Amino acid sequence: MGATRWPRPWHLLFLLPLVGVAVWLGWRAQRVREDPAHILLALRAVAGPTLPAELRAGATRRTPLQSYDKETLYEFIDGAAEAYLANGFERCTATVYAFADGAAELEVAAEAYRFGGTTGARTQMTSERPTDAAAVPGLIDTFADPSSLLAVHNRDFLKLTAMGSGPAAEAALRRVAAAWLAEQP
Amino acid sequence: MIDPYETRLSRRELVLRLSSTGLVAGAVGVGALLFHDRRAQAAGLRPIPDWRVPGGGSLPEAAAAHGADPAANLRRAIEAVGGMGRFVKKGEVVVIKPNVGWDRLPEQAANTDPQVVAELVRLCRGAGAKRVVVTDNSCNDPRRCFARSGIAAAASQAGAEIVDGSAAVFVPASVSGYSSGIEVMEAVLLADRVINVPVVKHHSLSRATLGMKNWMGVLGKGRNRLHQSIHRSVAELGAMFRPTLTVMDATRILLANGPQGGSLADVKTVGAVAVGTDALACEVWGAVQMGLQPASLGFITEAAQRGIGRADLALVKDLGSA
Amino acid sequence: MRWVQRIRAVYQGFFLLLFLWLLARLAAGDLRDLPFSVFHHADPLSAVGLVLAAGTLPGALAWATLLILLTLLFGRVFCGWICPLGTLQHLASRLFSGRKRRESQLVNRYRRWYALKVYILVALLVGALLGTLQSGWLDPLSLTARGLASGLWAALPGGRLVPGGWLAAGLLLGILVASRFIPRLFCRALCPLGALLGLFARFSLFRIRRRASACTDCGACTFACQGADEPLGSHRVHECHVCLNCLPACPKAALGYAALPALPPAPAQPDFSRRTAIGTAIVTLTVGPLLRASGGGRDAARADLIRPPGALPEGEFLKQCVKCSLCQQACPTGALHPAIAQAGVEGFWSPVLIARRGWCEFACTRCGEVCPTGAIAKLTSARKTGYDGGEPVRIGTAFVDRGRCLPWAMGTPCIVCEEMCPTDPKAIWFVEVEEPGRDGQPVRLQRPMVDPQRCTGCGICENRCPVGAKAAISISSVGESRDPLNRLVLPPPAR
Repeated sequence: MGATRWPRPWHLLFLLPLVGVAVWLGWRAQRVREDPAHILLALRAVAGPTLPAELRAGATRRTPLQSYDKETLYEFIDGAAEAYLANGFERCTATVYAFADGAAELEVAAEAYRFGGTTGARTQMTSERPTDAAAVPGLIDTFADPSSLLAVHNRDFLKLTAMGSGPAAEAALRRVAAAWLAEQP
Repeated sequence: MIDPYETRLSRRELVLRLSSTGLVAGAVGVGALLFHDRRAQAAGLRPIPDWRVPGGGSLPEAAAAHGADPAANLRRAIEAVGGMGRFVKKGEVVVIKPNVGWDRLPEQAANTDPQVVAELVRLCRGAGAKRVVVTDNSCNDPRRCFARSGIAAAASQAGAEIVDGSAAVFVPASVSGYSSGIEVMEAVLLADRVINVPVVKHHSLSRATLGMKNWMGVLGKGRNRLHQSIHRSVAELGAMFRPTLTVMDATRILLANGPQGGSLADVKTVGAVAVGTDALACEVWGAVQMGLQPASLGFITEAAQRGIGRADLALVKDLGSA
Repeated sequence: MRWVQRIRAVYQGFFLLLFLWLLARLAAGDLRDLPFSVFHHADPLSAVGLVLAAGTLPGALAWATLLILLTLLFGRVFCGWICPLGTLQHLASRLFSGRKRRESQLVNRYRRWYALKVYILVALLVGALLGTLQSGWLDPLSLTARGLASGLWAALPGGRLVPGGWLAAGLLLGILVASRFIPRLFCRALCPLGALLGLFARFSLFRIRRRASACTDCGACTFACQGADEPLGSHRVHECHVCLNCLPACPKAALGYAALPALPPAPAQPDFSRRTAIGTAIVTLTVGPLLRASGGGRDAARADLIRPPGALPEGEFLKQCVKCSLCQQACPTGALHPAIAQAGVEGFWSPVLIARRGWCEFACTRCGEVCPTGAIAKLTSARKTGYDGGEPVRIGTAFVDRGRCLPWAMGTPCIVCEEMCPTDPKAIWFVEVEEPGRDGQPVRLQRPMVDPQRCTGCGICENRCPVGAKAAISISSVGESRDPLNRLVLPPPAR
């Protein structure tokens, strides 16, 4: 029988695979599986285009939501409704966010339009996109210029207009758009 | 004995063993790649062909003939819409779809008249059809239905192949609406020409069963669900299955206790056969033979809305008695 | 013990504890995204079985190729270093039998009937080709998971009792007790995964090497041999668990573990009889279809066979379910239980929903998330509930028994089923009546009616129905999404 010998330091290398497994496990344990709250996102999204709550958007307040459908859209955007209806407009939600900027308040008008299909939403966005609008890094299908922002997700088209310009306005636009996208299923 | 352990491993054996291991490893890897997430080949839904023949110009959309001889009625009516040669070309496979749903005798008017079916087979063969198949997915035992209705004997004597419900193969097809998920008889889907040969009958649920409802005989399991919304289901069937010809058999019609019937007291001998390319026109004609108002039948109004044909009795040219 | 045994012991302990911990966390409903099915994903027996039966290797099962490649390199290291059942048997043999008993040449010699596991493997693979996957019965990972989670742990305080759990526990305990008599008897004689790995081990690069010049045939190496592979003489690499107990045991240090050693002479009698294998295959070909005919056959839709949401159509399901019972552990309400008679012999121990014991939580998709073979497809909550705009996933339909229901039969108000119904609009609606009670006073009764076009068959109504024993509202499988023929009513008109 061989006498019991103490393990050499290099023997511990054989335990490396176990260490690797343990590390991988630890990484997996950081994540949470599908958040049960996701189902609420889907539920709300089915009911109509949504706009994020003021806290989510980083605003101090927002006006009560207004909704318009195919018949009442004219009351909201007048003649422009023609183009929307031609693209398959179904209904929309609108509000105004207010961002406190010291004593002054920066207002951002937000409108989310739902169309029959994603093609309609994209066509509408392309037709309204200003030529100097640039893609917003980090957000998919989002284009912004100094005082407005347009985004598309599935059948919904988001239109943000800031009453003012400058870095504060651009940041506000980005925050609302990011919050809106995060809420979509 | 030479101890093999003392010898060193020859290069040949080394290569052999390494390569055999490598081969197995390679086979496992290739197998994993090939089969990874490989869904079983989706059988694919078979499309339902449109069996209609293009326009007849000045020919009537439909014609009805009266007389004592059902075969003669059929011949006259078909001549009036252009002759069988207009519809069946040489070498084609024709499927004839009579109503052979019930285990009844011809006198009880629950199935299509066998003489009409036999004459139709003869006409198709005369026009040069390569194969004529007579088929239906009966409600009662298939052999009994085909035998007692007289259709098996008459049609096979005329030269047709009989495919009853027990022999038929059903495949998934692209049926939509209420019938989605229900399989369809493969023989029908493979045919070049399909002739719908319903009998005019009373039906306890839909008030009448005519041509469009006859298509239930090409469906497989699950078709009994369609009764839950019979008018819409029948109209959907009429929209999906567009036959070359509709032959509405009113030699004997069942006026009550349909679709099975049984009592001879419910049978009325009318002695007429209508043939048409417009399925809805033939449908309307059939309803009128029973004394019903076509507009009062839900499936006819639904079918008219779907544009299956024209629900106009005037389209059917009355040839009168011989 | 030399250092290599110590390292091996650490590996064995690590993987056993990992297996137990993951199983325990799964049963406890841990919210974290832990890899609960990782052991089953790497199971080559499931992988090969699925490829033969279903013609597909779903997603994560591809990890099994890693284990096969490991075996092609090092031999059956899985058996000796990783397999939790192997470690449990190892512990059991140490616990139940003294050293003198378990470390003896007599006990650890190879016996010819150890080839039984190869014939079992042949039967399983031929059965898989016939379209029925039965590897789950003896697969060590499925067996251990079932035996612990459905069997032994159910007996602990707070455990959830499983009908028939005693069978699974009994099998596991029987295997552990058998180790008292012959250590790791299951691994040597019955394990089909061991047999499969053994097939690959015949091509392994690293094996036990014996220097015949130094060997004195003392037999000390066989004393502690785990695999009964007889390192002296004709070493059977397909039996060797690479436990490496033989290496330090040899007083002459004649044994080593090295790459591509010279092959030992073949054993006097071949271990594996081709005739018996062919015979097994033929018997399986004959008996296999009988399995499918049990319980009315696979084509007959069974009213009491309610499968988890996302389950494949029955024919496909039975080709992919390895009866690991992970779905049953994952189910938060304890709705899933092993089938005893509901799915025939073929489906024994596959998951069925028993509404009286638990309901299918409306937006929950746990079972599909943990199923290692894809027999239960992964769903998203939005898809399962139908909140994405499509039809919800249905597993059956509820039927009201008007002879038992309180408002229908006993003039007593109730409304519990409607209250619990999770769909929107609810699948249970009321017919309201006012009827005189026994004392002549009018009683307002709301009598439940089921709307078959809304009902998803989740079973919460049956679960909560106050009418004990046999509920007044119960679920039948008719209407399940996965079978287009098992339908009750026409689909709702297209929106």
